[in-house]
Amino acid sequence: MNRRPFVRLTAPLLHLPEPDLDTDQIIPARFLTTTARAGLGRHAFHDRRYDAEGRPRPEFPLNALARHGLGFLLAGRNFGCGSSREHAVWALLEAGVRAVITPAAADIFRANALRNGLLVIELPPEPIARLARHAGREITVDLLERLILAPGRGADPLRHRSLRAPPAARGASTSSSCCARCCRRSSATSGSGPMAELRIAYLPGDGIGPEVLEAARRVLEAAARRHGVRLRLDERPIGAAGIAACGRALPEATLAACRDADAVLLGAVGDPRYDDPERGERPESGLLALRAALGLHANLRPVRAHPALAAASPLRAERLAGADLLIVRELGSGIYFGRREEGAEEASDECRYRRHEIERVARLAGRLARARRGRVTQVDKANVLATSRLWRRTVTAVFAAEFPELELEHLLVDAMAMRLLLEPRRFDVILTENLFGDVLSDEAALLAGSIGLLPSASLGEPGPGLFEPVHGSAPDLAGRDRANPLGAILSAALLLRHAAGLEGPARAIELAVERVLAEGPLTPDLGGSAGTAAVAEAVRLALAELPAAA
Amino acid sequence: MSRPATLFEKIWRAHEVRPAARGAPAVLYVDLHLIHEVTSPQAFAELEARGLRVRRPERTLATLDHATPTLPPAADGTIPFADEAARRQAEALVANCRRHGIELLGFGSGRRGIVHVVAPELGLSQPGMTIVCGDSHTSTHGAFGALAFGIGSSAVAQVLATQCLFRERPRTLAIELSGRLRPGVSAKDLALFLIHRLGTDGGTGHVIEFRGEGIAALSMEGRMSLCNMAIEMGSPAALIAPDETTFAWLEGRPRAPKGAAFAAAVAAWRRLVSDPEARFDREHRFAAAEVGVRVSFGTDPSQSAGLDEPLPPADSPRLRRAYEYMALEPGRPLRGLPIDLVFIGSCTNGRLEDLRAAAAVLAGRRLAPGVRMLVVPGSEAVKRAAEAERLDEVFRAAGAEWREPGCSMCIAMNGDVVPPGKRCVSTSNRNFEGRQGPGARTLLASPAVAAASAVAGRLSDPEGLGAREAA
Repeated sequence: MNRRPFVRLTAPLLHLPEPDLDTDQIIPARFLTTTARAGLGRHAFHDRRYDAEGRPRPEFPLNALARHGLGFLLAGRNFGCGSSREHAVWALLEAGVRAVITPAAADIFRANALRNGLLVIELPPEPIARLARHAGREITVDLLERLILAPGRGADPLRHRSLRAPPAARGASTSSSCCARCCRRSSATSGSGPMAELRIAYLPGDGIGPEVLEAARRVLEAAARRHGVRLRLDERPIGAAGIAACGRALPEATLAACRDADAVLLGAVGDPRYDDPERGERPESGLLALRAALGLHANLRPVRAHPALAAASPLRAERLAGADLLIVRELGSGIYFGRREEGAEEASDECRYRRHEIERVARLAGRLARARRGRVTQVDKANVLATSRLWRRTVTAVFAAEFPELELEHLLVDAMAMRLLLEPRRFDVILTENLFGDVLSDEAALLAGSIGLLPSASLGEPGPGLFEPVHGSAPDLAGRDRANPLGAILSAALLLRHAAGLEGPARAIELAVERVLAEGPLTPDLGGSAGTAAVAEAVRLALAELPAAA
Repeated sequence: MSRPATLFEKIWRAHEVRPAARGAPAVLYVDLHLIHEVTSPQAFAELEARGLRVRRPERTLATLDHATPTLPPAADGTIPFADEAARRQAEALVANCRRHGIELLGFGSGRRGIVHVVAPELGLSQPGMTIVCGDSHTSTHGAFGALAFGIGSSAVAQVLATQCLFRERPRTLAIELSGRLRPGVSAKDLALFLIHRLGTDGGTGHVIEFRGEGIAALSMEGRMSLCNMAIEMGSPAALIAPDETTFAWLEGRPRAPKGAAFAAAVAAWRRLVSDPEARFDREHRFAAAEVGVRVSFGTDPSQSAGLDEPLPPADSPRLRRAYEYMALEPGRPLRGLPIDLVFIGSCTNGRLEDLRAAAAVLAGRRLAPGVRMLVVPGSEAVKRAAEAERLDEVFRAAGAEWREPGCSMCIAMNGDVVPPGKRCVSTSNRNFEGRQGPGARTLLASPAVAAASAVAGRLSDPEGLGAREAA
């Protein structure tokens, strides 16, 4: 049963404009001779959805759910009238409906929906009519911002204030109670709560690192101010900058500052002047040493397909649309850390995993999936590798015991490599071991359209996490105000979310980035002509224009 | 003197354990919790899963009605369920009631029947109570001046475990009927009229109070038929202030107070009226003289018309779909429309008075050739009473089937199904697409109109049958 709360979800909008769709239509009574809640999804809207022979009618909107998995229902007036059967809500949820948007729902249906985490959004006719123009396409429902977003360039009509849940009357009961969990979380962590100050080790590094990090800093500070969080940045050199400053790619003072911080925000390291092996320590070694010193054991790579950038991706737009996945890669063990033997004729790399190493990253993936769409795909090569079989057993056990409400599947890495390109939107959280995660992260990076957009987070426990854009130091772009700052800005959002639990400001930054992606300005790598600083300023302005969080 | 209050406010105030606060709905105490086999198993499963017990088993009453067969048990006592799922569901209720000490009006109890028929006839539904059930037609009990509404299975679990319920406080809507209904016009016609005028969501978010001379003149059965269908205009609950008719109906019922206790109860019940100065959030007033015999022609209960009225133009996609589903055209009247089946029964019109009304039309007459008619009493008690009056003989002699009690063809879960494309004149409450079976075409009507149509083989009222032929 799909009863997970969501904070923000992008899914297709299915339009059933007919008024007075009663619960007998949603689930005919002949399917009610059951003693369970589960199993009703395939019968949702049975007599309208299937023909007399039981074949799905392609024109019935709900049948699109079979392709997408999840959706929002844009329904007519008095939705869910008639019988009190809660089975209607169970059937819709199991069929993948996560919210019903309607001018008005029937009383008993609304109460039942509320008790099951099926969001009912009641809106006046005018925004309903505007939403209807997006029928069949994807929209985003964001409960923290109380916004419904539809893709589109220019003045996005669905950003209109009237789409915010009305604070009074019956709108309040639905919206406030349905997102009680997330709203509580946001209010507990923003404002003058205990996390009022956030200490960040600020490591610009080399190449374009300082520019993109400066961009990230401006946005980060704006978001923090908006949500009443104070930041204390401690700027330190690393990489070539570290070597230049004190002869070490990871100066001791830098490492000490990182250990002392709540989180580390890093630009990039690497400088071609150090490619000459004669010059001793390479800048990159500073980052490797930092990762090792902080005991980072998991790497998070969120990848979202932005509609505005579909042309920049090698995948066809319709394949890509709606892709929103998170790769959780084990970072502290596996083949990169095993015994290595290297001879002239023979070499070997040992891959070793211990159960607790798998368990901790599996738990992290489970916790993250809970706040997303609740689907975890664990990737391995269990048909050949013993470590993969240990992974499969361990992950299955952790999820059965601790995350029974999540959907867990296992895929072989070779199949995954193909599926990621064929049906990327099928995936939510992808959990995998170090080597496979390394490869799949880069493959997934293609989906976004530009590597300049991608943020990453590396988490350890109990120390601070490391947040950095995926792109490198790009020395050829350094100092030219041409680098894309969005990867760094989104890394700052990840920092707020994962290091401080500040979901509100993290979401706000992501929404602002989305708006800039849709409306510009963009840097040259995304087909625009704007500079790094101009894009950062645009994000900051978009952030300022967002309605205040609920 | 306290602020003037409506009947609803008086009952609400007396049951509010905790008022709504900071976005949380109010907590309401429940006096009577009715359960049946279809919406309770998931609630009991939740109790099991959480290790909870039923808080007040003595304020909980169970019956089997929705998926129970209306054919008599086999010679060996086997109940002829339509399928194994229905049997298992009934067995689950029996087991759950036994485990939790809940009284079950089951097979062999002599008291089994439709939940909204049995609780009133036992005298359990009383003025001023809060009554809930996992069934939208719980509004029926409002006929006694009880605040009664339907809830989902999760709420059923909450009430089982706590005898309380989270509930948003509804607004109030007064519907006043001035004057008395004309002879031959029933409470069912009135319900169809009001739903037609107010729309399927006219009462959403509101508790209705029916009032005025036309309401006071209704019998208890008529009041129950009317309150029963409040949900079809969107109101989860409707109220009628208790009066002499109510007290007379309750007196002597098995579970009503007795003797001095009854007199004391009546004295308290008399205070359950809306104060003259009390304000409602909305008010409507209708003249009883406006109301005539009505039959539904479409696929929701608001789509109804008088028998001789031309059907309205198909001026919305919804109406066009309804006409197509019902195989009807705008402009023609309903009278004379050929029909295939007639169903007398349900929580709307399955009481003794309803059976009498149908039998009065059928006496000395026979069903038209090709018409099938099911008469399903609302409870075992109704069945016994009807048989004592020999109404069963009237029905059988006319060619109708006299069945065991249950929801039957109203919800079509028990094997009593209207075949696809067939027209059924039904005394039930919902004409939704597929409600009486996939493709079934339902025409909602009063018992008298249903019986007259069975005789004519076409939609008709008793007057349309002409003089009675010698039997």
